[in-house]
Amino acid sequence: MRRSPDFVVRTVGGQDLLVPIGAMVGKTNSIVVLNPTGRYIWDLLAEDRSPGELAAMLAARFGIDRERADADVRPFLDDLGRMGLLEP
Amino acid sequence: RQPYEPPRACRVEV
Repeated sequence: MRRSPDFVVRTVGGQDLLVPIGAMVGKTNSIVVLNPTGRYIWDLLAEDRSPGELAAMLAARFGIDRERADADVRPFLDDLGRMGLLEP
Repeated sequence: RQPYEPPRACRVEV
């Protein structure tokens, strides 16, 4: 999976915001706020990644165990997908 | 390392 090209991340007031661009502007009436860990994963999703790959990178980056990383990454990816932030 | 917190995405409606 990979992030949608219809959104860009911008840091405003210390918050990482996903802002719609292009044609998506007219279809969206919201923006999305990412916490720092969410931003880290969003950046990784610039390339095609599997959930397992993302979990492994998250575990290595933050020094958490792989099981916890798996448990945290999957619902986050579900959220991104539900909000239309991933490529179909 | 940066303190860990689970990844979150929160929608802000306009």
